[in-house]
Amino acid sequence: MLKVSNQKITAEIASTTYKANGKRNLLTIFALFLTTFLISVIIALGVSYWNTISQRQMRMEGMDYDVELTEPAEEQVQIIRDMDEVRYAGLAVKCAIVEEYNGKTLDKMRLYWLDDICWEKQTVPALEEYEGHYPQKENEIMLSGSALTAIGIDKPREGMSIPVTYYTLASEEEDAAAENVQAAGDQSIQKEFILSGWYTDYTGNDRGYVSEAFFRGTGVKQTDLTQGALKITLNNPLYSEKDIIRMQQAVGIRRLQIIEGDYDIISSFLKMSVVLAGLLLMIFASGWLFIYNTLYISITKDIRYYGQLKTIGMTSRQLKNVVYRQAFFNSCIGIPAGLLASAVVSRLVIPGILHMVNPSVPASQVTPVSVWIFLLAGGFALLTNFLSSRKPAKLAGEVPPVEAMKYVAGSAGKPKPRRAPKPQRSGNLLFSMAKQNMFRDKKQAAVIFLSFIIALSVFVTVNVIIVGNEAARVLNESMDYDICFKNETTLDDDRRQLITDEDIENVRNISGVKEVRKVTSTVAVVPYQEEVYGEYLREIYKTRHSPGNYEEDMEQYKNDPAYSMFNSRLIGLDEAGFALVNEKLGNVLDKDQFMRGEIAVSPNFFLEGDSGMKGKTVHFYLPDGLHPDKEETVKIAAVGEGDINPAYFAGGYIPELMVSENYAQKLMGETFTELIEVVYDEPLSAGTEEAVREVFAGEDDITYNSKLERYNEMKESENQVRVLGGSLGIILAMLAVLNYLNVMAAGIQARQDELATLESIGMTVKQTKNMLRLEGAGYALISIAGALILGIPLSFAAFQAMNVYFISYSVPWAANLILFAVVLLVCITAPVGLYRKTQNRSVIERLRNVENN
Amino acid sequence: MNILEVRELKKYYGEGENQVKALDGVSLSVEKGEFLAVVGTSGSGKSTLLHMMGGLDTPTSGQVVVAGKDISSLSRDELTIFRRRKIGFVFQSYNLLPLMNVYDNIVLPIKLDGIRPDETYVDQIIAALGLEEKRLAMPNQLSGGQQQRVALARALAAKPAIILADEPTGNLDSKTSMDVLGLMKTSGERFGQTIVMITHNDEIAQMAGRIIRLEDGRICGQSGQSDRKQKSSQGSRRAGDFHA
Repeated sequence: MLKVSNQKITAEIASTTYKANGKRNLLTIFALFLTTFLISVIIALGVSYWNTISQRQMRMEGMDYDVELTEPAEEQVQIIRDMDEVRYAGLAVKCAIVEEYNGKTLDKMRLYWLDDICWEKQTVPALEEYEGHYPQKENEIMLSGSALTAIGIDKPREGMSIPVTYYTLASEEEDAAAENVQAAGDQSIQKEFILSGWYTDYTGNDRGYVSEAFFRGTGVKQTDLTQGALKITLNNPLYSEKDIIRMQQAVGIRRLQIIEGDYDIISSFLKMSVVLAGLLLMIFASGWLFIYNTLYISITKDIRYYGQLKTIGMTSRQLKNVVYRQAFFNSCIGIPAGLLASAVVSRLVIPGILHMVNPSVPASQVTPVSVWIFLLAGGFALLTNFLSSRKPAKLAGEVPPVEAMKYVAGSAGKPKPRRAPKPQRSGNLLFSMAKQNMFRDKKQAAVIFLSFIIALSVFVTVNVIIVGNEAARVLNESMDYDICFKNETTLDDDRRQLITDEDIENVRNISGVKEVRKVTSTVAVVPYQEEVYGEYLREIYKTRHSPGNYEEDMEQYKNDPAYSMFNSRLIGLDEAGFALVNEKLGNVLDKDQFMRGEIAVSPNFFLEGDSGMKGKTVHFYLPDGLHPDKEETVKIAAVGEGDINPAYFAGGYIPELMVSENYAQKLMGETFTELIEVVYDEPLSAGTEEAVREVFAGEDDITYNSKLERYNEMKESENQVRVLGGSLGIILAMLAVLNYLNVMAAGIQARQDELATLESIGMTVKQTKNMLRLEGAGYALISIAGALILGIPLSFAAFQAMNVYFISYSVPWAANLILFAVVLLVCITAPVGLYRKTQNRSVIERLRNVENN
Repeated sequence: MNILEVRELKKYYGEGENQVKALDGVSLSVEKGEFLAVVGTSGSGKSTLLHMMGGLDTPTSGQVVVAGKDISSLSRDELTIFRRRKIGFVFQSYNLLPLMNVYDNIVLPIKLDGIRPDETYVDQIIAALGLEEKRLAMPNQLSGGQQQRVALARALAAKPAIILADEPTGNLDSKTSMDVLGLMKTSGERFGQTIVMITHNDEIAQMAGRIIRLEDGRICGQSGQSDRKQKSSQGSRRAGDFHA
């Protein structure tokens, strides 16, 4: 057969048809714009999240690693470096602190030594830029940009002199043992360093790097507590707690050593991915439904036209081509516009969202998304568009010309026998007519239901998550006080009673203060008691919190009951404090018994359950009590989770004993107030807060934790999330509403003849409107029911996946009901409005349409 | 007794030189139980006249009085209600509702009035029109003649004062046309209905008791008076039975 070049004419017809359908195209373009926008924002969100978690350490520490082993011994370093899953393991040791530069006092500038791996493989990639070289000679130093700023050097040069006063971090025993060390800890040394280089990174820390020779000279060892760390870069940044435990076992982790990492990294990543994938799916579906629907309606309306084209000789392929070309024209406008809008939104809002779902990521450290994400999103949107066009194109291409000429949109499909007629009243009649109309074109009904259900479900879900993360709610659930003042000297040998009863009384007298809860604490020596703590201790050694070697430690503990690693603390609670604890425990405690000092409560910080402690009587001593050598006893009436203990400072591994303040006073004489918790009449009241803080103003050793301050921090990212989440729901709802209007408009137009017939045989305009309203209400109510059935479990799952604050699940009914009401209202009023638009001709003029058909 | 009176009815479209006078002062009256045919060529104004009688269109001037009521004073919804109670329409293209079965189509105007259909009466009509077998069929399962019979049944079911038939056989072949007309005539007689039918077919018009000829919006002749009287007396007695 001869190949005919007809591309040109196809293009021409497509272009003519496209131009003729201005309004309809605008609708499709708008749908594409919204779909692209949503797809792009969601992908950007996912990619940003991935980037952010995989680069978090790098950003926060100025180094690129995943986990770190503290205080690593040489042989442990070797074992880790030999592991298959480890890419790099570099050593960093904090060895000195610079106090002064040229006589100017500095705010603790830390000096680190990094080994070659740590510098080249882990630090350099995390730097923004650096000049010079890593210190080689003993007196060379490399400083961070902010360190240079701190000491006042604007224009650093290699080789310039840096005269400083510093002290080393070597422990005293080591100083004594090593004779050639520079000085003991806390003893200042003056030294003139030579600047070998400088760098800038994202952390903004005042920090300096020194040579190995200098580090050796300080006497600090990589195994010194908190100084040395082995930074480990894994081949796969998604690691689990199991991986870490395996690593711990492989290196034979010693007491006090830990491998630091984010143990929830895999699960939080997976959960986030599932939530985002779910959202993406919903958006795809929404976009698909909308674009499909618009094109379908458009082609149905033009079906005679396509039939004519076919009659005069266009092939099915050419007709499909005409449809695809029009879809492509829509893409050319809708997709770039959507991408542009999403690019703007991504820059502005995504950091806030990530910060909210994972508060350990500061908003400022979220990695911006790159261009390929938008290409990907654009590709997805294009795909959605073409997949949605397939059926309509097929419809245009395959309708036989004669049938197309006769096509009447929305006519009933295959005839079906009906049930026997039942007598009906007029109301029932309208109802059944509305029902018949709703389902006359099942595909379109499905499109309406699906798009509404998707949009409303997403809205419900997004709302649940937003409300779940609402700053005020999170804080109210996670902080049971408005402000807490803590005595930082609590654990010092020379601790000072900084929060006096007089202060407490002063706070209590401030108007706006509802309650002040006093928490006192003191060391409690708890000798080894197999019956009470045997199970607990055995369990704890099996977890990653394991203090070390069980047998050795127990031996030592049994020999020395006062062994600090197994000390406990006696926490005194006043009545209000007791009430709160008892409430958290489900009011299982007998108040009188507690107040008399017969019973105590213990928190189980490391394990779940009561680990066999509940109901047991504990023997203990109070070294700071009235009778340090007298054995006291108390029964543990209940064991709660770690957070039931209001005290901040911890003792050893034996859980705290929370008793009544009266009882504590009986044993102690004067108790020591560790902290007070203050509750306001009105949460987050700035005025009360100011007055309360005034009481402790000027005392540096009293620190505070304020709900109001945290609220203000959280508020900003919350607002951004609210805006984006809300927009997401609203955009989908808008797509659904447009979809609905589109279907209804097409339906009413197609049914014009029928409505005219109805009027001619006696259906009043009022009845017609009521029937249309019933149809609308039907669509809305079924959709809302579907949205509740789908949306509530979905929102519950998404909420659980993103519940970082362990907040209880609740559905924000108000917001949802408002949207439901709006949807119902639109659904009910729109068809009547659309109907009215078709009513500007007399019934006979409208009937003539019928006659002509 | 006149069930329908048309007085000086005019319907003009456009203005000035372009003015088209679809009806130009038509007056006529129809007695209860009468079968009247209005004939005329295409564009003679016969459809317009019928639509005015049924309140489907509003006149430029003149009056239409149906059962003593001047319908030109009614609002759109009042007119609709009036129509469903007093007038039954039969259209050339049947205008059945595609989503409803035969029975539902027939009783629709009654139900729209919020009234329980008189089952016995409806059954009689269905039987008279030979639709018993098709009660539950959908319109698109019926032939043209069957569909028009359903339309006729629908027009009869509400016990209207008048049945207005607009080219009821226009879409039917001649045999079916005669069948339908026969049924229309006999059921009209049987149920005491007044029928006004428009047609361009003289042969069909002969079935009526009286024929009015329309040309250029004016009545230009009528025939069959004598026939009418006989029919009407019979009809009014019947109608009295049914409208009690």
